[in-house]
Amino acid sequence: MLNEILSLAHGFFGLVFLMAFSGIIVWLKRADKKDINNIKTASIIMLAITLFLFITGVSAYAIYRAPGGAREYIKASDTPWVHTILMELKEFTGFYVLVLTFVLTYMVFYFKEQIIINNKLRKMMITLLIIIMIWTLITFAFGAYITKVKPI
Amino acid sequence: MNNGRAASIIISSGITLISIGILNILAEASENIKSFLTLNQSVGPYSGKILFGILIGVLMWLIINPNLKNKNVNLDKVFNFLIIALLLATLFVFTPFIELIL
Repeated sequence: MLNEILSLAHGFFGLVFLMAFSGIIVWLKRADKKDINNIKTASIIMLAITLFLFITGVSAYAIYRAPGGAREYIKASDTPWVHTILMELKEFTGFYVLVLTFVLTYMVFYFKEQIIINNKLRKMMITLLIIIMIWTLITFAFGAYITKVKPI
Repeated sequence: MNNGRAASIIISSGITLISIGILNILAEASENIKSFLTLNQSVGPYSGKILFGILIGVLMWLIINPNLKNKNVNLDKVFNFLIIALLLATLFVFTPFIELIL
C-alpha cells in the first residue's frame, strides 16, 4: 500500500513540476517585468518538488534494491541492461536535475528582474530550463520503463 | 550588479556534478572505494557518491565564493562550464562508457 502511495505521489508531483516549468518558460518568453513574482514562485515550486521527488526516489530505490526486489528480478531476466544502463543512469540524472533546479532558483532570486530585462541572461535561463526538462524527461522515461518491466 | 556570487554557485554546482561522476567511476574501479561509499546499506554506494559530491561542491563554494563575490565575471563561460560538467557527469554514470575505460 505504501509503495503504491509513494509511486502515485511521485507521478503526481512530477506533473506539477512540468506545469511550473511551462509557466516559467512562458513568462520568460513574454518578457514582462511584472511576471518576476510568478517566476520566483514557480522556481521555488520546481525546487521543492525536485527535492521531494529526489527523497521519494531514494526511498523507492531502497525498495528496488532490497533482497528479492525488482533489481534482483531484472538482473536475472533476459533484459539485465534495464538495470545496468537505465537504472544506473536514472538514479544520477534525477539528482542532476535537483542541482540544476537549485542553480535556476538561485539565479531567479539573485538577478531578479534582470533575468527578464537582460536579454542575454533571459536566454541563459531559457537554455537552463530546457536542459532541466531534457534531463527530467530522461529520468521520467527511464523510470516509467523500469516500472513497466518490474514494478517495485 | 556583481555576478560573482551567482558565478560561484554555478561553478560549485558544476563541480558537484563532476565529482559525483568521478566517484561513480572510482566505485566501479575499486571494491574498497565502493564499500567506503556505502554509507547506507539499503541505498548502497549511491548514498556516499551523492553525499561526498555535495560536500565537495560546498567545500569548493567556500573557497571560490570569497574570491568571486565582489567581482564581475564572464557568466557565459561559467554557464558553459556548467553544461560541460553536466555532460561529463552524465557520461561518467553511463555504464557502457565505464566498461569501456575500465
